[in-house]
Amino acid sequence: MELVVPINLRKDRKVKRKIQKLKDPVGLVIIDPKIIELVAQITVEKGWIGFGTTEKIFQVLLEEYRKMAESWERFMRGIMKVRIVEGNFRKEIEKVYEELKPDRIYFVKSGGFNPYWTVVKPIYEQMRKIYPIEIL
Amino acid sequence: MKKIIVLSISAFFLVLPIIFNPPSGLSPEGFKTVCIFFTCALWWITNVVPLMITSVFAMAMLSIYKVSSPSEIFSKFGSSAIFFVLGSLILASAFMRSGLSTRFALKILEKFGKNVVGLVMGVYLISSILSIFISSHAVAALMFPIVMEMAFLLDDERMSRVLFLSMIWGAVLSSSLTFLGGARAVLAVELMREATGKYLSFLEWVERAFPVVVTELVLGALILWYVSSKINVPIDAVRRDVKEKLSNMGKVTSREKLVSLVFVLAVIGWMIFGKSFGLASVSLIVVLFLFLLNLVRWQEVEEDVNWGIILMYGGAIALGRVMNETGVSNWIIDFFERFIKNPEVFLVSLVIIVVILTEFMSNSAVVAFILPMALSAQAKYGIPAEVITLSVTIPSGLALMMPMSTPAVAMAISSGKIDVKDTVKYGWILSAFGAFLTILMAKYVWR
Repeated sequence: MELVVPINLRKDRKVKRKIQKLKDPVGLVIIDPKIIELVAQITVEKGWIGFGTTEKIFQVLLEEYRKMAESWERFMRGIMKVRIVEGNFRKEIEKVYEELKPDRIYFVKSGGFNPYWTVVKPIYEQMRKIYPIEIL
Repeated sequence: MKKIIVLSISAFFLVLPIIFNPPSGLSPEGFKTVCIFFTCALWWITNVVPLMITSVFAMAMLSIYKVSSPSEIFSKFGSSAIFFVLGSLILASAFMRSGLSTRFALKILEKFGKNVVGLVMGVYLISSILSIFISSHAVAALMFPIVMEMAFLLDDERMSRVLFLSMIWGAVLSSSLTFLGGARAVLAVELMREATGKYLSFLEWVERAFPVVVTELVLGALILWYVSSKINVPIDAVRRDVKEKLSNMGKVTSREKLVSLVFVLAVIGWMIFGKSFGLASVSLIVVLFLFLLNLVRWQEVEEDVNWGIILMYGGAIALGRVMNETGVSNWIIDFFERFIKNPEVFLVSLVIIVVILTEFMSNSAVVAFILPMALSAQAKYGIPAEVITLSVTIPSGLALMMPMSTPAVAMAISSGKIDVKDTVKYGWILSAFGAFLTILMAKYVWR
């Protein structure tokens, strides 16, 4: 079994084809407000925007990420079951890893500028030393 | 890893004046300043620390390296440009908090958004009009939730892309028209005054920027019209949403009326009295009125204003002053003069460098980095200081493609509805055309 963790939730057909080739994939979408807050900060870091406005952008992105999670789940329906959870990115993966004991964990991201990946990358770098994680 | 490399190169730069004698034509103070300047430029480009921290670092290093006495260096920090920017940001806060900006946006959408093209043009029009009067970053932040909601309701990938492009282009292109849309223009005029004693007033700036900005806006509108006319999606959901939001806002409040009155008076004040009393004085009087009339609360201002702008601009202006005093700017231009003899070639190279740099670093950082050096070229190449200032500042506002350039692009891309390849696809046309227009204006009109 393989655990598939999408990072930026783009409905990418290439990614879908890659997941289709896996033996027994299970999806895990994690909505981590801390990560989204950091994404909001990255998007405005070159601008002279106050923290109140950054907070509003964070709320918009969080709401959007929730909608995208549902949409991604629908996009992947038929290929794999997708769980959507809200919480700490690393802890949620560890929880599901303990429960399902997958052979591999795949992080899924589409190319180009991806602020979500910018935030998740350090977590990935740490986790890959402990868990069998790859980028799909 | 990136941070380690950047810091290692910085350490190398900073050690140079301790180990080696200054190169010919440069004083020991100038050598120290040039090393500090290139370290700052590297940090502004790579963003290893926030922009404002780089500016503070410059001040500290100038002091530590005894380029001048600490009290003299820190006294260079103060500038009327900073107070003008501060005042305009507080005014923008009042404008947004009163609900005026949202009402204006919804009204335009209600009026124009009767079909797909109208909706796209509505977003473009709102972003471009607001960016003339308030910071383009704030406009992008205001428009982002509105466009996001529209994209969700329309649920069409092509439409989402066009809507986000219209938000980016409107906010970015208009921001060069006045001192209010992008604070970089005020920074540039202040740097020019420090270096040459010359100055451009609010109206003089608008008059010079107008042809470039308006032509760019028209080109942007044509591209958006062409792209959106091919899309056919029902927009009833958006129209209902806009109507509902407008009815929820109720009637225009007295706060909105008063804020718009103060806004109009402020713009008139900057235009008429800006040169004689100073833009900053008008700004501060406007701020006083906002508080006297209870149109804004200090807590709101604290949330809306990024105080880092004071450090960034103050530090950049101080560094620019020291570069002029120590002859660094002249020395750098002397170096370039060996390779570029022709003033036209210099001007074209300058605009191209700025257009490229602004896609990868903050546009105010581009101005802070390039302008102090470029202004020294006025004597060497016989190009007027105003022409150099405009040729750096207007193209520095053409950040339309890369997410690291400006929040408008970064926000749009973080939505997941648009990608860098989408912003590059048409953005390069606008950037190249803007650069071409700037060169034409510099050669035939601004002189």
